[in-house]
Amino acid sequence: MSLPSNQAICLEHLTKAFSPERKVLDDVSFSVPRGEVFCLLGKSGTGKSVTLKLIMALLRPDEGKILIDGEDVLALDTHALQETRKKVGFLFQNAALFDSISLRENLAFPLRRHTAKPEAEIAEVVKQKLEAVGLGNDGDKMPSDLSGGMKKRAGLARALVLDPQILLVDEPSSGLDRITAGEIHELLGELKEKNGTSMILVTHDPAGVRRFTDQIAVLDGGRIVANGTPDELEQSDNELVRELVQGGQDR
Amino acid sequence: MTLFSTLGSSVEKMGEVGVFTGRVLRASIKRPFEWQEIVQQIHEVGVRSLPLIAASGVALGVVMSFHTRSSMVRFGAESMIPAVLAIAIFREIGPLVAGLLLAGRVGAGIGAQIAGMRVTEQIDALEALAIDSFKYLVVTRVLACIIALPVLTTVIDFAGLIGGFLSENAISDTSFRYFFNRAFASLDWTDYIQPTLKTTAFGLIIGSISSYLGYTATQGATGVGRASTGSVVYSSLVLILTNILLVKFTEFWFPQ
Repeated sequence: MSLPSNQAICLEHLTKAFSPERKVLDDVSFSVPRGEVFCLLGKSGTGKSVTLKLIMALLRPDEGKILIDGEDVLALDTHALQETRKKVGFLFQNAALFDSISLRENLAFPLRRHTAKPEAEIAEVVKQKLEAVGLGNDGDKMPSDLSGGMKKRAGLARALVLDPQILLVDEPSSGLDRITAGEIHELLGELKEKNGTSMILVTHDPAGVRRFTDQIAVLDGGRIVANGTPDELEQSDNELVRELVQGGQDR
Repeated sequence: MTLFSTLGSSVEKMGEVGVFTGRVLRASIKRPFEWQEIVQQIHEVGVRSLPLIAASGVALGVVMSFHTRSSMVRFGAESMIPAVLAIAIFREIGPLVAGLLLAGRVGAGIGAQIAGMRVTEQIDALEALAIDSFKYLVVTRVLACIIALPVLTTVIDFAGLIGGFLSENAISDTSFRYFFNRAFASLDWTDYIQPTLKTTAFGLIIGSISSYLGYTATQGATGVGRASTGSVVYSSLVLILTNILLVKFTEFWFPQ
């Protein structure tokens, strides 16, 4: 039984190491209120993607606590964890599409598994989601026939197919041209405004999502070195923080 | 020191496969059951292996008939050829060869496919979509191997007999009825049931080892290659060793 929480996601003192010499994450804590967009910035290899995987319980932390909708995901049994995961959409950095089935089937698969929708309705939902990311005519293509940018958009469509309350997005605009990246950012902004979707965005383009970002945190050396609103962090004394927030670093 | 560490690592791996197999067996009796995927995998493992199994069975029967004939003729016991062929194929050759063929065709496929999904984060994607990847990918494939192998063994047994008949018919003009009457007159149900049931253990070995190597794969394309090759090598090896134990076990509990 979980307590009602106004936090969509809450991380408390999270620590993760893949080798004894180096901690990827060291005592990381932050929370994302419902309906807000949280941007996680940092240079490559600072543990941003690991943070997202820990939230989804795809990895286990060495220490710390992860709450989704007030539920401690590390304490859940398999069934309860799956119920919690249904509330969360996850766009992987490399999209992670199922390569043995078509794009359309990639999107239909979670709908068939988790809803009682008839096939006609599933086809309609899939069509809408594909159109939303500009892949309306590519449903029959296999993932191997898609470009990197198309895979990214397809991965986002699949992450959205169950209409999740929470979205974890790992680099939504990497590999995309500016126009398509802008369209994806527009879509994410709409999700926040119309559906009240809470999001954690790992991005190297904070300027592109600035309009609807509520909070930014900067990871460096496995620790959160800055956490605040975009305006606050732009005035930071830390040069790395300023550069990352202004989108000038590691692009 | 190196020998000991290699030995230690092998024992550790065997222990891990044992634990993995135990997890498969526990998960296979827990709801929800992935019926649709199990049927799909039985098609993949069983139906798609049929041409290879049937062709190999016929070829095996022909070759065995050549060898049996050359020995039998020496003792003037040509009339025993169908019986000797039937007993050899049903009791030992059929189950063992079917198991080894499946380890080659399906073991490599399972290892490579699951490893490919692991290194491209597709297994993580399944989990993120609230699907139990272990039940969906591993349990279904292991069950498919357990179910399909006895059926494939039956096919290779009969294909072997047909091969033997074709060979005998070509050499000595033996009639179909005579050949099969002589073959089945020498066979008892225990010659079929026990060796065929034994192949469920072979199916468990092939499915578990291949799935384990795929599910725990690392290091990108190299890892996929290792999982694929390892699946065939270790499945075949463990299958052959287990066969010795099972034959002794069967002889002890069900003496002829």
